[in-house]
Amino acid sequence: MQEAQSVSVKKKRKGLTLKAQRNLIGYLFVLPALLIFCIFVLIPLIMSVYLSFFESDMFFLSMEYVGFDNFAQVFQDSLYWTSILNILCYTLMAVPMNIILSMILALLVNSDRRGVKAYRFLFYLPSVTSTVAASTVWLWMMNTSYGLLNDIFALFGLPGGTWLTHSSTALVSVTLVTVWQGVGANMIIFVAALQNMPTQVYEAAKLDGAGPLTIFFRITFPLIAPTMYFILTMTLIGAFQLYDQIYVLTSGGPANATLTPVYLIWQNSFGTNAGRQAGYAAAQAFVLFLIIMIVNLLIRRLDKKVNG
Amino acid sequence: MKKLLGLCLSAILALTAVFGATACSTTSANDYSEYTDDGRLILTIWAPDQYANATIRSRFQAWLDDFNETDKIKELGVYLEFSPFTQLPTTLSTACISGPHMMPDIVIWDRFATPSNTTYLMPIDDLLEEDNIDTSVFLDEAYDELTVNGSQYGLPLDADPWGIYVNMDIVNTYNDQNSASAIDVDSLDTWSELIDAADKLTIRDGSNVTRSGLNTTSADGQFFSFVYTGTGELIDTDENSSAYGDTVMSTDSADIFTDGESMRVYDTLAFFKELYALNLCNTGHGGTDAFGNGLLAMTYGSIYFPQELSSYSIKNYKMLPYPARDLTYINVNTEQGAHGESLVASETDSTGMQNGQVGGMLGGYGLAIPQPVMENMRTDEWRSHVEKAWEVIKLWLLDDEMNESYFTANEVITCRSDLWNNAFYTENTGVIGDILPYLENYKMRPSVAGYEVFESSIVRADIQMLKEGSLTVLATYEKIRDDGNALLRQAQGRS
Repeated sequence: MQEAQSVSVKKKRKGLTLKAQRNLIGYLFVLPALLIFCIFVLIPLIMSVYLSFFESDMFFLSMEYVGFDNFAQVFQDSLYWTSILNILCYTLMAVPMNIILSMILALLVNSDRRGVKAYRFLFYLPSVTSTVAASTVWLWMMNTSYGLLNDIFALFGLPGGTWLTHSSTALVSVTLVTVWQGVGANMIIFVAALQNMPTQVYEAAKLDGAGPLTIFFRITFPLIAPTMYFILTMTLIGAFQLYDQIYVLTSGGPANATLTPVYLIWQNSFGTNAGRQAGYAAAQAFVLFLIIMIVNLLIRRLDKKVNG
Repeated sequence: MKKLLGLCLSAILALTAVFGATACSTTSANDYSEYTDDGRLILTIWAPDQYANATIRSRFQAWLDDFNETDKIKELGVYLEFSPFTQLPTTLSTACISGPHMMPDIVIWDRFATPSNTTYLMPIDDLLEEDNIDTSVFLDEAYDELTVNGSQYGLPLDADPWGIYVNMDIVNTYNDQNSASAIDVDSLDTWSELIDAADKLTIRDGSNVTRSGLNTTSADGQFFSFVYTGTGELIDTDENSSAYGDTVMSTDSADIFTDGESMRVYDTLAFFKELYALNLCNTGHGGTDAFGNGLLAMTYGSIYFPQELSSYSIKNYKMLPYPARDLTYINVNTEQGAHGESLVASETDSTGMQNGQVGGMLGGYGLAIPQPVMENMRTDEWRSHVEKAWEVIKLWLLDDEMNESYFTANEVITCRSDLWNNAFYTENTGVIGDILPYLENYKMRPSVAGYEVFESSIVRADIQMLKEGSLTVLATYEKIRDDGNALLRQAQGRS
């Protein structure tokens, strides 16, 4: 009996090493996330690239292979390039504004003073508010006749803004809303980075007579550069994917001034222009993916140059 | 070992995905029917967001409750329930990919959106043939709006003419104070008369408009109506034409001012520029609120607009058809620049295009039966629902008594033109009575793939730029033509 047991133990050891057992447990933990990632990200991504070579509806029912025709069409589509131009303008406004403001707020709330936590909570609150709900409130606030913002302007004898109703102000107005909503999340990340700073470096700088500005530019800024790079990358990707605020605030108007690539892709896939446009929308999405990737590679290169 | 483990994990992943997808696709296509306590099959109706308006919804629900209690519907053994949806086509497409258990049995469908959504609407040609339905009783254009590539995707429900709503209290007050230049609303038949009346009814405090004469903030959405009442078209819908599906706008710059179709579009753009330049509307006076609260004298609306207005104090208003074109901006003041840019309209239509008509754009809904996208989801159970849904549609639209009950209860116009002689229509003293005499001059928007996005993303956007002064009339014309043709060709799968 004992002999039989020892044989079975030996066999077991032969079958699965301790390292493999540990790996197996690891894989099992990762499995649910991997499944979700594959079903909702990887498979749709591959399908979308595949779809971009076909003229098709969303249900793959009547697919006709068109080669690179959809991509050729993307490069001739003035609406698509209007949307790309819009998103570049938006990115140039929103990303620096978001990072600078979140950094300033982070510096302001990075202390142990009384009441600071309440401010952190207040600044972070818009980030946890539903985008649709917040945008609907802003829609009312920016109403040119009844809106709160123009009422405030009127109190000071200033003329009201056109906000979302004019093509020259609509994108700026949308930017204000998205920055208001996004700044809190980045502030929290900056605060986390600031709280991990080595205090002795600051003490040494102070002993050497460095002022607050010198400390910020010579110590704080270089030390939070990796965090800055992370925030820049994430904010940039988020900016290029702007959709929900546009859906609620402007529907891409007026005069396509706030039309964004993702909104246009949605329109082609599910919206007013749906039909046999799913393949074309997939091609538009793929081109957008390439643009985002190129921009990120450029930033990465820049980061390497600056920070080594 | 690592390879084996990776293989196993991949297999698990693949099996989970396959079983998950299979489970999603088949289990719910059967055994989803629900019944009332008295054994009637419950059929669901989905309606677009307009039906979410409190008044429209309550009227529809009240009619549906009555309909459910009729002997005819009881004999069919069905009970109808309804829900309104925003973004109905999007929601419906998701439902149709999910299966019959998620789908409605009948959909009140915006006919305008039919060409882009045929995947999940069931063709009813066989049903029409089997039951030998006389489709000639329906308004031809409304019926055709549900026809795509020779297949019929539903039957038309209502004729929804759009027109200009006039606040008669404002007009009467103006007329009392200005008897010498009184406005005769009953003969507001031309573009010139519309401009004149709008200007008279506008109250300005410097450059600030405190009461708007005419809603120009949403005029871009009415472009088709004005082109049409100018006897023009926007899209070539002649299937025998080599330019079928394109805009009618000439691509040869020399022809723009000599080709009739092109000139009519150009004239309408120039007319819009004049409307914008006259400062007739405060930017905040574009909605129902402004009209309902007396801040706007004239606005655009459909036959459903009175139901939206019912919650406001305004009661004395009239609906007018879009006025006819009586002036051209071509060949005037060319010494000051391009045609029409000077904004001085000629009283004489030198090109002989004075056949303008009062009418406008006709919208409306149809009743359609959705279908599951996947063939394997079209189960016997779903087909039994389809049979019942079709019987309900026939009862609703083709039974004279039921048809009349629906339209009188909801105060809209039926697409059954053979019923327009009924007392409800001929003796109507509301907006239906206002507009019925002109209904024959109304026209549907072009039924070609891509038209919806052409109108929303190209026409409206470019007119907004004209309004803001960033495009001239000619540049707007060229941009609508070039971008429009590219988009239409792409949507229609043409090179």
